[in-house]
Amino acid sequence: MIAQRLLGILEDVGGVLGSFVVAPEGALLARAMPAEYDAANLELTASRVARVLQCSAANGVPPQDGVFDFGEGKLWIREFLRGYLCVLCSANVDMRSLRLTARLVARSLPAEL
Amino acid sequence: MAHPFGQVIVPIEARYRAKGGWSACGELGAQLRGVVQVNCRPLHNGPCSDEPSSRQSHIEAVSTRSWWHWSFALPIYAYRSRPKNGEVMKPTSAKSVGHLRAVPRQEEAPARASQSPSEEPRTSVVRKVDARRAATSRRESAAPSTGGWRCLESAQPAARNTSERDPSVTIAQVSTNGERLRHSGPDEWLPEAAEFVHRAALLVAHGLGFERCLSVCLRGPSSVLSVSDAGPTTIMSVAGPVAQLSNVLRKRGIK
Repeated sequence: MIAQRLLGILEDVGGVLGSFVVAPEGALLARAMPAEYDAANLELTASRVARVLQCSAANGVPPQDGVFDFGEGKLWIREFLRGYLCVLCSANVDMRSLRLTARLVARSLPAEL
Repeated sequence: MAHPFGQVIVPIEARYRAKGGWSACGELGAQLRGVVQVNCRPLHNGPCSDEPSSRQSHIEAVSTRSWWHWSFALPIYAYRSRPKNGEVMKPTSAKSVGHLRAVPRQEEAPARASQSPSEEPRTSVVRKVDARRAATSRRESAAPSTGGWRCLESAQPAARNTSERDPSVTIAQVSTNGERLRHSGPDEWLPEAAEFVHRAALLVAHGLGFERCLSVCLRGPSSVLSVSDAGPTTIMSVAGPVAQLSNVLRKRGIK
């Protein structure tokens, strides 16, 4: 419940569409995504995101920050204690505001999700 | 303004620099046939006033054509009022607002034309510096000038070619079907990882309702991995230290 509220804070940043939290091994821990993203599909996407990050870590680049650029949108990723905070946003999002807000949210997320 | 040797009206872009006087560049007409860059300053020591006489300036013309090496001290008459305090001068052309009328000194031309073309450097933009003007310009700028030709572009960093590339940065280009097209640098794992990341990122894009993934950029504590589309069937990937790839991070909005 707390995690949901914290993820909701991210939507105050203009251009943010939703967010979710992925465990390092790929499990979907929390989500605050629009209704059109169903849980099953999102779990699959979360595991794929985790696999990309694991691939990077296995080759000596353990990711702390990352961006998937889809052209019309972006998936911004930040590592935190329990896994990765993923934020889905439109292309014109203010990255500076997003970085600052996401850092606060990532720090505030509870250890147990 | 009549002059026995005629005049050359120079289409010119001019701007006023607070300390350096007028700086202008333009293309000379048919008589001189050269692209020149000019810097002029008032003949008197004080700031420009609006009296016509004070706008008479010396012009230093620099040719980018190697054969044109004789017109370096031209009297110049600038028909443009100096900017008011705080006014930003926009580039103008001779056709619209301002004129720079450069009258070549005919008597100097043959002497200079008789110089051997081999005396003139054939690379970059150069300036013939004479002793008197060099002394003045030394006061205005810290650029060293000991006479003779000097390169006006020496302050600009030379373009890095592929042989000077940072050895700690790895670049790999692979096709979408896994063929290794190009690889340089120490990280042998990069082509394979790039192909995997590209495929997985495409699936992530589809899962989130997008058609394609243009790029993935991941930053670690000390290193960066970037994989991006470089065409319909080509993937470009870069890996290396954060310091060397900070421009990549900035471009992706991570930094």
